[in-house]
Order: sequence, then C-alpha cells, then structure tokens
Amino acid sequence: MQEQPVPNYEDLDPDVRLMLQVREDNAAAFEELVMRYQSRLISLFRYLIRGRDQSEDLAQEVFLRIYRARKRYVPGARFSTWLFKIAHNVANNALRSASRRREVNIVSRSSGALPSFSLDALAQAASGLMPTRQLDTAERAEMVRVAMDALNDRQRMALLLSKFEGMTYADIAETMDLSTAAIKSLLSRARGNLRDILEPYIEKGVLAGEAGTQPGKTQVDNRD
Amino acid sequence: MKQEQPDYQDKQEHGFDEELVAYLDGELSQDNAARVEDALSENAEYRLRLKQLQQAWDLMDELPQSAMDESFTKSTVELVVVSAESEVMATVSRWKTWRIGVWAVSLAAVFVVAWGGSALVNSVSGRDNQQLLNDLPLVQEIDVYDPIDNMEFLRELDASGVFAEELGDEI
Repeated sequence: MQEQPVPNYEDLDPDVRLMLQVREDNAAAFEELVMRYQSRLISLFRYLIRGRDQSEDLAQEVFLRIYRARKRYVPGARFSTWLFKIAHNVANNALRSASRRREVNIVSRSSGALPSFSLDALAQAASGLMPTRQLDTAERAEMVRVAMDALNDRQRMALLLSKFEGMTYADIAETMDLSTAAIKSLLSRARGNLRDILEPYIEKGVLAGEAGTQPGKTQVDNRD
Repeated sequence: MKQEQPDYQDKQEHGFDEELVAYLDGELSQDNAARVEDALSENAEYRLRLKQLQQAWDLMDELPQSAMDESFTKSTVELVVVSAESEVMATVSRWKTWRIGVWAVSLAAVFVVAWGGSALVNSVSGRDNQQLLNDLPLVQEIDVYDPIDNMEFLRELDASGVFAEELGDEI
C-alpha cells in the first residue's frame, strides 16, 4: 500500500511558522498567536465548562502550556489541531475537578434526562402573555446553550470543534485522541440529540425555523 | 422498479443519522454521498430528518462567540513572562547549588589528599626518625667505635645495652 506523503505543515500553515518563531523565543510571534486564538479558546471553554471567568483562566492555561512546550515543538499537524488537543486535555482536567465538586442539579448530564424543564421554563418566561412570540437573540442563545448542556462532555466537545473550528473528522479524532469512526458516531449522536431536544420548540414556532410534521424523540442518547 | 433504499423505519436510527450527518459534514466518499442523495430523493422521512438535523445545527449559530480582548492578550503575555522568569530563576538556583556542591566536594578532596599525604609523609619520616634515634648512641661515639673493625663485637656491645644506657644518660 502506498504511503501518503507527510504534508509539510511549515509551508501549509502560517500558524505553524509563527510557532516555530516562538520556539526561537520570539515574543511578538507568541503574542500574535494569542490574539489569533484567544476568542476561539474562550468560546470553546465557555460552552464546554460554563462560566466566562473560568473560560479565560483555562484559555490562559492552554497558552502557558504552549509556551512551556515551545522548545519541544515539532510541526506534525496543523497548529490548531495541536492547540485544541492541549485545550481538550485542559478541559478534561477542569471537568473532572468540576464533577467532583458539582452539587446535584435538576438535570444530570450523565443520566441523559432532557432539559425539558429548563427549556420549557425559558420558553414560557420569554413568551409571557404572547405564546406565539418568537424568542429574541439572547433568549434563543440561552435555549441552545441549555440544549447543549444536555449532551455529554465528549459529544459537546466534538460538536463545538466541528461547528466553530470547522475541523474534519480526522482532525477532531487527533484532537480528542479517538478514531475517526468514533468521531463519526459521536457527532451523529450529538447532532441527533440536539435535534431531538430543540425540535419541539422549532415545531411550536418558539425557535426560528419551519415547524416540522413529526414530534421529536424524548430520550437523549448519551452513548458515544 | 423502485430501487432498494435505506428504510427509515427499519434502519437503526443512529446508523441512519450517522450517514446523514457525515453527508452534511462532507465526510462521505463520492459513491456514498451519491447513494445518500438517491435515498433522499426517494424517501420523504429521510428528507425530513436531514432538514431537522440541519435546523438544529444552524441554531448553534445563535451561540455568541467571545470578542477579542486586548487586556486578555496583555495579561496572558505577562503571565508567560512571569513563568519564563520563574524558569530562569529555578535554573540559576539549581546551577548555583550545583556549583556550591562542586566547590564543597573539591575542598573536601583537597583536605583528604592533604591529610593523606601528611599521614604518609609522617609514616615514612617517622620510621626514618625512629631509626635515627636508635642509631644516636652510635653516632655520638662514632669516633670511639670507628677504629673497631669487628661488626660482630659491636653488635654484642649493642645487645648488652651499653649504648642504650649511655643514651639514657644524655637525654
């Protein structure tokens, strides 16, 4: 079987070239990388972990780890893949710490129970005396965020990387240290669950989008 | 004749979704994508499921993304500078400790060599001194004993303690 030639990431990826300058202790190159990735990292952690303050701390932890590892850096992948792999490790550590501290909430992610109470409450609070009123931007965002909270951590991570980083299944697999087949399954469950949670609200016209003709499922599948 | 198509009711929903999601993500091979497109054209439920998956996906665009914050950049770079300084301090401290250690070992080695050498010298010279002390009585009276050619006679005089008595009178 013919082996695929290894891509030259230094030629392909400008962020790899910046990181190679960081390896040579170029402070301006490091600052440029921080500026390019900070918003994306903070957003990722915001929807993975919750809490903007912690998101910023975790994003800084990622940059610190990148800086400390600079002398050992070898461009074996796109820079973003490497960076998000570190972010994935940092997120896992934070989630493990959080699960040890977490008080039991109404909805437990691991149980797979739907956040229907939370979503219904949000929808009703927003609509008030006008049940047919569509939610505004902030309200829709909150409903989508609550729906995403119902996914398990791995489903949520894969979904965020796919949606907001535009990563291929292969890149996500490398980032999360899983096989491509596992990512394919993970993403289909994540998107299926998201669809199942939000569909009733789309049907009722609470969320934007044409109403469907079939009611969604009521059980979230938290298997990977 | 209707072509054989994946049936929404019979197929495991997850496997079905997997195909559709991979199709939406552009992750299917050309052949598989064509197969899905054929199925979509033939099956209304398949099309509905695809639409619903796409709608939920599009709703994720409602999630606000963080804006770039210059103060965050600044504080991150400062954090890294502090970390780098700590690394340098730790390295210097380890080097100083190593250097002190090397000096201490060197000094100890010098003492050991000096003591050992001194002990060796004392040991050698001590034997020589002792020999000289033993020979002192003879040396003092060399002019008297010199004419005596007979060594055997001198040894008998020494064995009798004549020389030691004379040395004892001198000390």
